[in-house]
Amino acid sequence: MNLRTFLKTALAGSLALATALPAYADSTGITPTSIKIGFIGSLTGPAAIWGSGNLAGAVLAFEQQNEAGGINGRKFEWVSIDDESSAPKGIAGFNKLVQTEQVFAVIGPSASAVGVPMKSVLASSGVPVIIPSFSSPDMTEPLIKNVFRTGTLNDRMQGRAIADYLVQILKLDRVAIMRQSDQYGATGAGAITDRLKELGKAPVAVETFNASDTDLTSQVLHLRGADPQAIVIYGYPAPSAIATRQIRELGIKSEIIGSSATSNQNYPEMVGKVGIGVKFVAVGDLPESDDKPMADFRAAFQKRYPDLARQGRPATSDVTGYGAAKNVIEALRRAGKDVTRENFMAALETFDGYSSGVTMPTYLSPTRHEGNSQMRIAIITPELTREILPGAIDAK
Amino acid sequence: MSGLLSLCDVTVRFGGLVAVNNVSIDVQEGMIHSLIGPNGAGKTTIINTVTGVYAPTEGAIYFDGLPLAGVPPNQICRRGLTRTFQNTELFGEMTVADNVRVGMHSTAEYGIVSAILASRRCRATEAKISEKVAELLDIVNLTDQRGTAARALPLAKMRRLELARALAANPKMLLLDEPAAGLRASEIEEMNATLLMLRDKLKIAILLVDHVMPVVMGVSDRITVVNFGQKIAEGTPKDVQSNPAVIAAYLGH
Amino acid sequence: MDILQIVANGVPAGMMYGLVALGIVLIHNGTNVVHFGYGEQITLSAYIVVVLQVIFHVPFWLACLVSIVLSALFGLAIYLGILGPLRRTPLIVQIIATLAIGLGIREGLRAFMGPDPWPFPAIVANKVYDVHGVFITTANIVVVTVSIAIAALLFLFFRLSRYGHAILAACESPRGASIVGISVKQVSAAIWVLASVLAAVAALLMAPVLTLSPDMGLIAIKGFCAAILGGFVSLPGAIVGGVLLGLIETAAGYYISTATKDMVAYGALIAMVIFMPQGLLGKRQIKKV
Repeated sequence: MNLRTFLKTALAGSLALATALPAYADSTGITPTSIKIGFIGSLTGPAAIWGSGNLAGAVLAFEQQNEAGGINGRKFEWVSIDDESSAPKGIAGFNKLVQTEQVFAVIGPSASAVGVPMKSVLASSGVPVIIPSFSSPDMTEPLIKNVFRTGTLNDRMQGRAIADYLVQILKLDRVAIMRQSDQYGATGAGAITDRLKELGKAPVAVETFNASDTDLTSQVLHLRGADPQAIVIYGYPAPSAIATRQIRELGIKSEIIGSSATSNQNYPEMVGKVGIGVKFVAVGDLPESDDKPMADFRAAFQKRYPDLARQGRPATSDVTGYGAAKNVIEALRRAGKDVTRENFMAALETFDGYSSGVTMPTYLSPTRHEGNSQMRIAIITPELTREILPGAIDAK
Repeated sequence: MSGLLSLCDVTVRFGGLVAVNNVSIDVQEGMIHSLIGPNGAGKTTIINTVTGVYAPTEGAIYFDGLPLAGVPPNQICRRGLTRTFQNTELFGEMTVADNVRVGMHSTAEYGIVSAILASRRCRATEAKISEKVAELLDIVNLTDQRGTAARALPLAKMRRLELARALAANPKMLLLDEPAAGLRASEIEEMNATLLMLRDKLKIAILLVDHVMPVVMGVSDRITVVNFGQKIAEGTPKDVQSNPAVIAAYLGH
Repeated sequence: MDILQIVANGVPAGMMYGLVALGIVLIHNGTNVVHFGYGEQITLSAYIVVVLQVIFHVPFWLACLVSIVLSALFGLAIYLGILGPLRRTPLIVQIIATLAIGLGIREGLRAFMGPDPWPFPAIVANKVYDVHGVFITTANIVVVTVSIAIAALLFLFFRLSRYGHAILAACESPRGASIVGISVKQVSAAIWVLASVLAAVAALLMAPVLTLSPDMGLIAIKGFCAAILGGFVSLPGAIVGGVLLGLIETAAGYYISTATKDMVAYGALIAMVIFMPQGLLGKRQIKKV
């Protein structure tokens, strides 16, 4: 056999092996009495605002399930790894969860800046990944066989829904956008702009700011010159709070609506009195809501994490982490006793409006891995509290 | 140890090298005492040991009756012993007057709080300080340069300014490290006059280290000669000049 | 009209950079160390106020005072515990130590106080005044007044008081200072305390405007730029550099584009370093510190 025929044979053999692989039932991380879940997320660094909550919420859900007897006779075990808000550490951490820890499925990562660069690593692992909170559409459009998202709303859909809300529900013509200079702001603002153009109302101004900016006067002056009826702020809570304050301080009286990143429990007080009447996107119920499922969750959370309660938690990221874990639990229930990664993912794809009680209902299918497609609008009240406005807006 | 400054059998070793070997020197109050010797004889090591840069390996040093070993440099100044450096250590960016003013740091009598509040006592002290600064600048003949930045002065004036700054601390004794190095003949005359005036009018004792013989021979009451870390002679300028060991050391025999 | 608004907002924004620069320059001149954890020291002081107020229910003003005192002690502790013992090590070791201090504070705050931003009360109720179409906020007025007052006080302290002179002397020639009876250790400790008190005051001014989060200290990057623009050795230069940076940023953002305002601002900085390495108020005009 010469080298060429050898290579051909080897290639054919490995191809056959590769195509045969999906048929192999993978139950890594499952024992008769336990099921091991990995968590990768930002527990330190700037993205910890999302990651620490995702972990706290998920752990609470698994603990509650274990107390209730586990799932199909198995108790949950979990391992968490901090990606330190860095993509390379995220990749290393994910590989460790999969190869060393041999987990069954992974919850995370928690931020776009970490998650998007991890995309190919997540995809090639074949391990089921459930994303609780970050909203880059790259992770689900086009869908990746083993990557799912629950709870949050992706930035493309969110952008379109914000545009629809302003133009079709509030009947406004002149919309301006103030966006963060990174991928997060670019995707959201791009989607708003595209949708506004489709509706024949191109934005009157688009301004950018850096997440670490401390003064946004020049941006706000540009906006003021464009005389908008509404300004959409697409950025993280701290710069968005500065933007909101400066918009009002420089005498602009338009509607202000913040992206889902501003649905932070401290946001109204961060902005202060000038923030009264400012709206923001909420994906799901607010953590401070008195609706029964949320009130129960909040009580359980504050009992489990008194330190976090002192910081005013639970926050939205705690809620989405809890929601993601609830989705995992439900899929395991549906997959039954002989669970494998394949039938677990198939079970997820049967979700048709499953509700964790605290996050928006999850709709998944073999052609759709973006769990949520609805957003709600909340407003800052004169008492500097937050209130969800009635009705949900569909996002496409 | 009868003097104002006494070195008693001081030995300084660096590893195996003996830099100073069993040297005793007594500097009496109100006298100018010079320390001379060829290059590398150990003069600078002796000064640095007195001012706390090195610790003596053996022996003891007393100033004004109290041991000096282990006392940090800034405390030595407060005890009344102030030194100058061969390469002046002035505050170049400050004015001539401010250099002298800083020299009075250890003698000022008001605290940081009253300084911030600009209290009456503080202002009174400041007035006294300004008076003293003027007086000292007059002594070293730098009154005309009071507003000049120190780094802009010619060398001879820097030396005199360093002297004025040292005097600002009200010392009992000055330790002068080559104050005449690099000076011209006329400037040396001036330096001699200043040193004698300090001794006679202000009753300040001086330990002088220098190579410039017109200064050493012109002002010294007593001279100690060292070579290879050892004291080889001591006495009046006349005694020392005629000492065969000294002549041999200087001629390299 | 907009140009007036740019000035009205660019100046206070720059004053905040200047306040940070002031502390950085002070420590650099006094101890030769570039303190890369200074921004985090500011953040820490603001968090101390929040902890006292929210958790221990101490009145706001008292919390501010306690924060200033604790910050001073913290500065002293940094000197006595870390940079004092390291003072004979190579400068790079000391600088890395300051980086470690900053990182430790930032991640420590994130761990114990949470990653979320905290609301921070304003020192005076924030009002907006409309002066012929130019909007001015009380927060900005306070920032400008207090910054100028602090810079002036420090300047006078160094120019006129004997302690100021002693510090100047020790910064310029530690050997010369020690022979006139100045303890260089005491001066270094005093510099750290002074800069840390300044950090606490800056925290009270900044936190309500900038939004308090563990990452608030990142403003120190702008503080470093301001310090370089001002020549890195001059206290008034730090404030002038800060204001200049604030104005350049705001004007560049308005007249060129907001996306490139940082590029323009840092470009100006590089030009400055190349063509005027001594800075605006560098060594030649103004004394050290």
